[in-house]
Amino acid sequence: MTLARFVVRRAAGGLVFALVVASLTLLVARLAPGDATTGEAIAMTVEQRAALRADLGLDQPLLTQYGRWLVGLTRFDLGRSSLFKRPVADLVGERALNTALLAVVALVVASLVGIPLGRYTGASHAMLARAVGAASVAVLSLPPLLSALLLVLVAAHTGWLPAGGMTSGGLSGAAWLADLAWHLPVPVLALALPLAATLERVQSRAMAEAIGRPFVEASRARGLTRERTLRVHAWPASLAPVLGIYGVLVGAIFSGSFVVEVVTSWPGLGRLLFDALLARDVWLVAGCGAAGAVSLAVATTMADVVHATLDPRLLERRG
Amino acid sequence: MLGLTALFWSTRQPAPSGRLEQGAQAPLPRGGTLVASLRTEPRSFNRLVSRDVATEIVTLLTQARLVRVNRATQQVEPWLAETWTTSPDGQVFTLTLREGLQWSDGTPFTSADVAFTFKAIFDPTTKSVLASGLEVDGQPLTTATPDARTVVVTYPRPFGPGIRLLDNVVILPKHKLEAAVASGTLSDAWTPTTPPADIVGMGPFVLTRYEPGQRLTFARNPRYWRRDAAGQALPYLDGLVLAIVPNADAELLGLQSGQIDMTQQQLRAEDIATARDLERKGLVTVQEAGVTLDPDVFFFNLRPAAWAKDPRGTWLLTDAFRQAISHAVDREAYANTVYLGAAVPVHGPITPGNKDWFWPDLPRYPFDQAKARALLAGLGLTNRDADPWLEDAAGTEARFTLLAFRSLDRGAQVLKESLEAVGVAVDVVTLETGALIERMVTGSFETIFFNYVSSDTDPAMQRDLWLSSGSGHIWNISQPTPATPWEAQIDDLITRQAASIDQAERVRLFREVQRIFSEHLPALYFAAPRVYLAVSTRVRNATPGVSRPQLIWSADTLAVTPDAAPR
Amino acid sequence: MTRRPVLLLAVLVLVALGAPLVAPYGPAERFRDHQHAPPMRVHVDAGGLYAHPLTLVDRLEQRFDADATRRVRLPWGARAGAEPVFLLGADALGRDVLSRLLHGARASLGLALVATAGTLLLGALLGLWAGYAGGLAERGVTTVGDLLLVLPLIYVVVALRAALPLVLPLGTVVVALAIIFVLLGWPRVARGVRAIVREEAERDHVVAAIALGASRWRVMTRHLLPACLGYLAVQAALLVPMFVLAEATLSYLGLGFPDGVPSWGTALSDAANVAATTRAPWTLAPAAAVFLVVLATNVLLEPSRHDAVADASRSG
Repeated sequence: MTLARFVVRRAAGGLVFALVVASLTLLVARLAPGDATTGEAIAMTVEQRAALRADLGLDQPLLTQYGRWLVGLTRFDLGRSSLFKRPVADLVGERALNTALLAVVALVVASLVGIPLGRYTGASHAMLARAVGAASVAVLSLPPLLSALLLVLVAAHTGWLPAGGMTSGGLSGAAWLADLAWHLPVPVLALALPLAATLERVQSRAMAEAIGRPFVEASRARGLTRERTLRVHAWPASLAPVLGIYGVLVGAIFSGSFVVEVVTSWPGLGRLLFDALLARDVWLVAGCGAAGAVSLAVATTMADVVHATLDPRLLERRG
Repeated sequence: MLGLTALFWSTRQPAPSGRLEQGAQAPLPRGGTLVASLRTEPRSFNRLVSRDVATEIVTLLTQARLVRVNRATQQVEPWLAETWTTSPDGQVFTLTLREGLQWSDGTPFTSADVAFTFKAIFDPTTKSVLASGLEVDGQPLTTATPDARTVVVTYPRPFGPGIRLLDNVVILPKHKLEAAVASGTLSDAWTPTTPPADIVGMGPFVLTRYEPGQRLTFARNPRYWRRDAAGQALPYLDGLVLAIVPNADAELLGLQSGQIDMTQQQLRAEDIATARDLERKGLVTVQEAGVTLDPDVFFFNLRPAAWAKDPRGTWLLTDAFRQAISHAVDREAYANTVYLGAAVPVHGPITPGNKDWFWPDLPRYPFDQAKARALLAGLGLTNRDADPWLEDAAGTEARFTLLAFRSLDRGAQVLKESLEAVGVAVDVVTLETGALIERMVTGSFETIFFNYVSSDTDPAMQRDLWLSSGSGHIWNISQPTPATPWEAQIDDLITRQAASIDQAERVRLFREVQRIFSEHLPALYFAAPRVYLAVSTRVRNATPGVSRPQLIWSADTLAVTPDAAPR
Repeated sequence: MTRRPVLLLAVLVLVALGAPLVAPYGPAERFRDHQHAPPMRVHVDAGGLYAHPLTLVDRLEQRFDADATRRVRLPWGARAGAEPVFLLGADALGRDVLSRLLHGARASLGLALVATAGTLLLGALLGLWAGYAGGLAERGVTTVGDLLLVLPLIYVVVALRAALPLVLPLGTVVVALAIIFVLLGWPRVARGVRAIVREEAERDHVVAAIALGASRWRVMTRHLLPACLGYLAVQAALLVPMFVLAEATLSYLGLGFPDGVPSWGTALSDAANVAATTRAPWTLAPAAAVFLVVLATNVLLEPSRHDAVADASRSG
């Protein structure tokens, strides 16, 4: 199978996956007690509540509502949010971009920090390596709520970085980009630290494993320098689990971004999803779920593409 | 007892230094931008269809009403209507609008806009949330506009609050929205995707930009009608920004770093100390606006049907049981634990923060554990076995479940402790918001610990809480006929209180309601927190009130010191 | 090298199990005038250990004064009515942080460890199967796993809560939470295991084993699983704190420990705000406890490393 076919197959699979996720979300949302009218229930009479339900289309049978939604999908209409009274597609589109920016930068930063560190700690017994390892564990054991809060606290105290928000408003062009870059570090760090620690730990283990393999010994016996052995032989062999967990990392971002977005006031999808969940805005929740599914599919595909380039055996069909 | 109450009521925490004077001597500086935080995004810019907090605030800034309730004094003041006369029977109000007012886009404002607004509210296709509030006994108000400057509002019956009701009615521009009403699409008008230039109003500011999830930017409305005492055109501010900050900690840190100048709600008790630290550093001033209007409420499910098959129903539904609970709670200790002392003990839903309606002589149940036990014993509840809980003659334990939100956990814990001390066991169950409200509305709960936000200080505007048929009559919602004689009595008194236009008579009637309420205790109240607000030092002339929104209601008279730019 | 962390872990387990005996105060014991009291310094004198009692100076600002003229004995075997001694300070309601840490250890840590073990087991099994068997099995496991990663399961939790009776005993809650945690956690483990197994399955010793007729099960457990142990150790380090905090999130949704059982997760989420972090940092003690546990398990599970490169370089 060629790489191109692989990507196309994955893309199609991703879309189907998104549809399934959205559909299941709609189903699951019906299970919880209450509906979109619950939030204001005590401010309305029974008749008013029934009228609002009818207005939102909630009084129709489940299949009818689902059918209408599916039809809307063909026109790229993901339904109307009961919370914001706007099309879901607009809301999700606005926020998805913001979260995607955060996620991509965080993943890149995490990879640039975690993987090299993991290589180092996996290959070395030095005190420094052990200290870095312990630091990783410390970061992993810190709840994301706390780490985000601490970062914002430091930012507010020192004033070097803004304590929240995505942009300062009123800027354009190069100034806007610079302003965005100034607002990125705090939320990115909050999101990236646990990811970097995870990558470091996984890479460290995998590296240590790879070093123990016979072919590495053989390389050294052949007279290769330590560095070359590590870089050319040991490291690529250790990448499998590392690349394999990128999908998990994206899943972790998807669920963890809510905390970071709330504490740093970043206008992202995580916050939107949480508000929608509490308000039982099922269409918006389904839309956000679909967005999450798409990003997961994209991330795993990209990770697999990288892996396949390094190891073309991955593209072979296995029985 | 009286003296103590008065002491509690009038004693305040020592005012911190740097308290802003109202009506400062020096002329207020003109210009600058103020940044205020907002917790949630506005669901709509159309106040007729949306009642959430963010929409209310945006409306306060960009739209105007005929009359306004001053959040600091809690009194009605003239706004778009300059003067008004009342007919002797109190049913007809003739308002004279100010001369020469213009909409923000330059179109002249006339009474036709007022007539249009009322028509839009009562139009069934609008499905306006304001419509039911403008009805008295199910009959809508009617308006007539004999000339361009006169509006005649007729109430179907005399209505106590009178013109206060019109504080809710934002006047909409006929020239912009007439077509929407005609086509029945007003409920879809002025959504957050509407271009800001289309949102025309007579408020102090105009919306210039909305960045979803981030902020709303406003600029001075050059055609704003109001002027200050010296004749200077308001608002003082050039611009105002509502930054969307979803969380109280982020707000506090924003205040510290200078990114925001003020918030929309009071400080939590545990944040007051942090705010005072910031005050000592000269970054903010902390002001006390009074006592909150909405204390936490503890209530039972008083539907007889809910307890029909429950052996506890015989004693749990009695007044004596609830009176015993009221005696068992040390309200001072409650205020100390839950609010770190920054609260006032209360015994009823009306707190000292409600200047017109608070009754200092409300019958109360002082902290007395012996009395509580005696009352419980009188119901047949004594400790008959080894465990510390009371049982009735049939052996049923004195135990019930209490539903609460996670955020009210401390209050629930103190309540539980107080009751355990007299032998009543409480199981506190935390539930998610939607699940809890569903249970409340369907009546599948035993007791709930809740916070009910009132919309106005006048009880006649809170009839859904007081009337047994009301949707907010939380202990037994929407009754077809009153379940108890005392609820029927309260129904009658509230109806009379709402229909009377004699303020003294209204106060007398409502005191009787409070007395009956206090005797039968369908809901118990323990402490009402004081309202502390932290405002950046660059803000001048802030006039805090206890009703929402505590600071930004007077946005047109806020100013910022010019040399300190927002950081 | 592995002795020290085993010791630490053993101590923690003993302490957790024996908390009711070791803890100075009961889990619900509250001191009204000591909200957010700071940790007290312990001194020694002829009579043993003592501390200077704290008196409240300002309730709103949570300021206390240590009375140097008086001494209070440490609370073990304490008598009622004596002034409190807080070794790790007091929380927002005036309860001893150390006692609540100890009392909550059984439930919070127990749940987290059980859930982690379950997650690792299920995730490893499914990951091994998916990676080794390939084809439909692999597709099935990854799809279901991805679904669980992305679906907002909050509604399922809320629905589950609504279906259960209002007052739940601790046992029911722990079982329900453990099941939910395992369901939420296994995809992360399975993904990594699958990736490792796919690589590992090509290696000589595996191919040889298959050629020699080893059963699938034997291949999976004897040849493939050891390669995954390192990854599983990492996941354990990740999952334990995650589950401790997840209990707090679920308690917001109504499915938390019953009233009266102190929870590390809830204590942490209550303390994760500006006021507590800057003025009462001792309330974050559960985070330190979690870190210690995670560190111990992590070091314990670290496989002894054969550093062929270093060996080779040493031998020249």
